[in-house]
Amino acid sequence: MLDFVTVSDPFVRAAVIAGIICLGFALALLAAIVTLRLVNRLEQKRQERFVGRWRPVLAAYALGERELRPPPLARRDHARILQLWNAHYEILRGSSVNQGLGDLAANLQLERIAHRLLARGKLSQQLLAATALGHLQDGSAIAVLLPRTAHPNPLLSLAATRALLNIDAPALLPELIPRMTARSDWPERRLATMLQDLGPRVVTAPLLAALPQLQPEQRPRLMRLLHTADQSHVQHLVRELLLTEADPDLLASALDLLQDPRGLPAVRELTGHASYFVRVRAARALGRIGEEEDVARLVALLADPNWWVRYRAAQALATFPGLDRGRLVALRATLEDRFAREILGQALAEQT
Amino acid sequence: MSTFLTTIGILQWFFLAYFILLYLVYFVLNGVAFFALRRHMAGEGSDEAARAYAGFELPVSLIAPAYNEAATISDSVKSLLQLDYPEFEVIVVNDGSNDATLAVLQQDFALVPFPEAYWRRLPTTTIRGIYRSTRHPNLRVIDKDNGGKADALNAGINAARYPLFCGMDADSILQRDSLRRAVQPFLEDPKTIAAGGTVRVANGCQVRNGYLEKVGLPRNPLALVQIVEYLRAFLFGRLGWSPINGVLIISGAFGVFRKEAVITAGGYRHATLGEDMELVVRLHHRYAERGTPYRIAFVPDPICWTEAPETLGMLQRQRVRWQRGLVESLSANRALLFHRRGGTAGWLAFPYMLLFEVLGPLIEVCGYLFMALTFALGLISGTAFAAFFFVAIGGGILLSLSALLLEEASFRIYQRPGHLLIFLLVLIVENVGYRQLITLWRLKGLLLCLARSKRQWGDMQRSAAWQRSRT
Repeated sequence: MLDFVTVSDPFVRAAVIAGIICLGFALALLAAIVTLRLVNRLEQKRQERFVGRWRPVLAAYALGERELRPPPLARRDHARILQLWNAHYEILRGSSVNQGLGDLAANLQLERIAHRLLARGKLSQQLLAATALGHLQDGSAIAVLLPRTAHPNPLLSLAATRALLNIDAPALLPELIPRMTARSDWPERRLATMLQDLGPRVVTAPLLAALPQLQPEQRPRLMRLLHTADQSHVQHLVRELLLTEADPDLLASALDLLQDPRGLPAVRELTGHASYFVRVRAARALGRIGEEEDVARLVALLADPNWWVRYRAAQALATFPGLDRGRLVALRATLEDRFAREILGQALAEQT
Repeated sequence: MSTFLTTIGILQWFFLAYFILLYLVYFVLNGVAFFALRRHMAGEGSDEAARAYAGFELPVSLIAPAYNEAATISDSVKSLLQLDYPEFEVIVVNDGSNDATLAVLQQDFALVPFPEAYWRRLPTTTIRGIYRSTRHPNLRVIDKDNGGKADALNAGINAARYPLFCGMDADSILQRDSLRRAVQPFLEDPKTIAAGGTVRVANGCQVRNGYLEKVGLPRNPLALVQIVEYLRAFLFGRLGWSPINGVLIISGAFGVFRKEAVITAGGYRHATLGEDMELVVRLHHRYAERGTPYRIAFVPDPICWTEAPETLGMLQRQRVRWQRGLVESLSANRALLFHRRGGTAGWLAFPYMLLFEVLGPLIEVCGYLFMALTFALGLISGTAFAAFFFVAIGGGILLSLSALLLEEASFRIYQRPGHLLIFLLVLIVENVGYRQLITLWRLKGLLLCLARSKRQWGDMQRSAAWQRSRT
């Protein structure tokens, strides 16, 4: 081998050096692969033993058997216990179960563990910690969770938000709503579920109070969350917006919320809006709350240039109260516009 | 004479430098992929992340083009309908099959003609009819004249009702959470317009009702070698580009796209064998032109399994086709190369593809031939000859080992100790003989492309042995 290295041909020298470097790295990688395989195997077995040891303990505490003494908990198992505890808490819901698991958490000082992992753990551990602090309703965690609602990672920021709402929704919701409307990387459906879980009594006032204070571009998002609020308080706001607002996104969101027939004049006006997605919502709204005179408007929308407007108008007609199938089939036969006939045919077929 | 020898010397250095540069670039990609994978496993790829998003995913239209798939289409569609996902529709596009594909679908899924107001936003061949299943409300079948896979996908896009669509092969084998994983980038970042995932080799695995039940190794040596090759190609070949928004390929076997983004870009192009790659490169090009922020993501999780060719003939046809598709895709979007707003895609990924993937086979084959010829003629020493191959093959082995390390640090699909031993042996074969053969076929693909010869898919003879395992 040394002979190769001392060969005067620079090409050979360069190639051999490159080759030796490759060989060196290859051997190192081989060692790393084998080591990793062994470590992972050991880790897997440890996980199995841990779950086997702790699952009965959590089950016992959940059933109220608080006399059972938990086994010692090693520092390296802190994330595991949080994961197991969270899973049990979420599956076995119920006040007595929560009480039992809360007692176990106090016994194990899970709050302290969660605080530590939230401060210094990797992302998956921080998620576990934030979730646990929410379940534990630890008021002392508010100060550390609030800054994390601004974390760039959407998973962690959402988990922190959810935890805060679990801890003290009435007090914290006003502060969290602007973040909910500003973060486009927080799925709206996720936010809606969180708000639904809190209930209209908790969310209505903060949501309505937040609307005038938001930036114009954030308002449509909040409007889309208003279906979780008490609709008796929301409808007058919706009617007002439909009459006064010009922003198409806001109008579309308001149309989706409208249930009050007193908003019909505004809806009828909006069936001619320049933005197709406003016309789509207007068609749907007419289908929900429209009167007999609105059938003609919906028929006119069957010939709209936009497919989605035609489709929603056809769906609205197909489910319109008082319009039976026979009447709709007869109506279809009178339509001169081919696209109108086609789309109404599709909507009727979907009803069968 | 001295000029001649000087030229020989220069070429020697050129070919050596090329291989060293190639492996250096791969090594850098490997490093990026390693950190991206670690971050992914600790964060978005964790079970906690999956639970956080569960139930809130965006609705998806699954589009499965089918051509002469009578033997397998029923099982494939049944497996799609069982995906663990909150809201989705399945659109099977029968692309002018001349076997019983449509008849099988009609019978097994109780299809009835559906008067769909078909919105032809992308041009396609004639639509003969649209059917809806009376048993599965979220299943529709489009019957059309033959137009090729790109045309079939466009027809499916026209009929899709959801904001995201998933283009796939009808015989792709999924995992129940495949769609959840693939859609996650769209939830994390609303700028995401496309996402792909790792495709694995299904040969040797146990599949039940279209889903992967148990991972295994194939007995066929070609399929075995392709497992290591796929690990290399996906785990760092594509993952390495994802964090810097340089992913130029999303596999046609399974990829999720934002429908409006694709329609605005013009849909899939017919005039290419690599319609999947061409679309992705075109998306990069369009968004770069407009200066609109966007993201094309790659999910390292194994989300799709596919049957790899088990004969040399089929493998050759596949690799020739892939190379032609690659060249056509880059050629059709060459304005992206060094585009002012091209970003990573235009300034790094595209040049990389051009130098190492398009021209690479030509340079490599010439390098091997040159070294062999000059050695045979006594123009270079045996030592130089051996040293060159030491680097060429050693570097390849190193990269294959890197891929195995990434796999070991992440998904650990092949858990048995025997599997690891087999892979270690296979990766030597992969780099001594197999890779050189693939390079030769890729060169053939390049030359055929340059000669503009007629495009042919050829027939992939699928054994579909995995489908014989069912409840």
